[in-house]
Amino acid sequence: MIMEIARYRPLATISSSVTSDDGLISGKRDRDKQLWSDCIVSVASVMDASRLTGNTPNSVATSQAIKFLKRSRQLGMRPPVMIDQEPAGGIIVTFEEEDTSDEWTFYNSGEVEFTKYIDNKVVLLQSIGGAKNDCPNVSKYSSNWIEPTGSALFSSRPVARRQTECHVEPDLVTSW
Amino acid sequence: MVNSPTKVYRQLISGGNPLWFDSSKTPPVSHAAFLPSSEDTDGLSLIDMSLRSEVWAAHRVESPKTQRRVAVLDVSEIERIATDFKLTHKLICDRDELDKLFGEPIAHCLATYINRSDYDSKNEAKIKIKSWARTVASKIAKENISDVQPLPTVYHCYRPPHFKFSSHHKALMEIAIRAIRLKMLSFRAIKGLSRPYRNG
Repeated sequence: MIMEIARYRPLATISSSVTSDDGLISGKRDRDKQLWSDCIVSVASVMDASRLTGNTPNSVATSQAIKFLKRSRQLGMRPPVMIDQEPAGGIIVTFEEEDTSDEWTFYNSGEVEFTKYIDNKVVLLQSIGGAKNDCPNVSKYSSNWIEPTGSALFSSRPVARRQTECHVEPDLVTSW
Repeated sequence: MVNSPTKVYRQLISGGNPLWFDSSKTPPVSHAAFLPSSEDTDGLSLIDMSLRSEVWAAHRVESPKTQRRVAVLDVSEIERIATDFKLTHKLICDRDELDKLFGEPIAHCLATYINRSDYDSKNEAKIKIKSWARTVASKIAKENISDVQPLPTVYHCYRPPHFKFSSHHKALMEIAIRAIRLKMLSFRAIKGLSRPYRNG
């Protein structure tokens, strides 16, 4: 399955190939690298975060989310735009395009859920297994990926990559 | 007692909400703040802005040391969004721990259509609630999110500055005051304290 996934060309590679400015590409790559590392660190920090109250994500949810993020990074996906805690316990990872967004929820129970939104409206909600050590099949659901034929699995279309800045707020507790 | 609030507060946990975000997004409020938690089995907790001050609206008796932000929501707007997603909207008064301490009028309400029971058991309800939460979050302006509120003390008024008791509540308070006075008088009479000064 992983080999199959690896054959899919990420959208980023295509958009990179049409960009002539090599400096810009390497700049983007560096920034993405940093973003990936920051968001993985932020999830890892939840494991011992005493600042979180209520239904704190447990080690099952956090380790699954970390595995998922690492695999997504390896596959060349774009970094997420938001990571949050699920109110009943778990981690929510959100990826965004222009008007669509993909959301992965890793529940404390080990269940993983994929939700696709278009203009804030849910267009797809799917539970993806519940095995604690399973990492969901990223490419099957994400609009960040296109099939070898060029058609997206879901409603995604080849859109220009958004110039977003993600970062971990150093003093999130006190100043958001 | 039924109130019909026009604006309500929703509590947001100051730290960890969101854990990490894209700073280009304004405001950085995640829809997870509007999803029901495991405690919200019968509805999403909201606080009538006209009946509780911001500092107290961010406070919970159950977790007194946790500081929170609050987001201001327009009731007509959230109900319109609920209707758009075919949610049967209903906002009911529901006494929370602070209401029990401070009495009527009750400030805590529940948006019964956003509840965890339906969210966990019915896929259709989950889709509607998720869509509602995301739309509500996307419509919140930055100025409608407060700073992290301090923990309330005796110096923080429970009722907002513009709060005025209605004639109904004034009458209730008058009765309560009279009852207290009567009780004090009877207590003094029993204890022989009705005459504070002895005749010379």
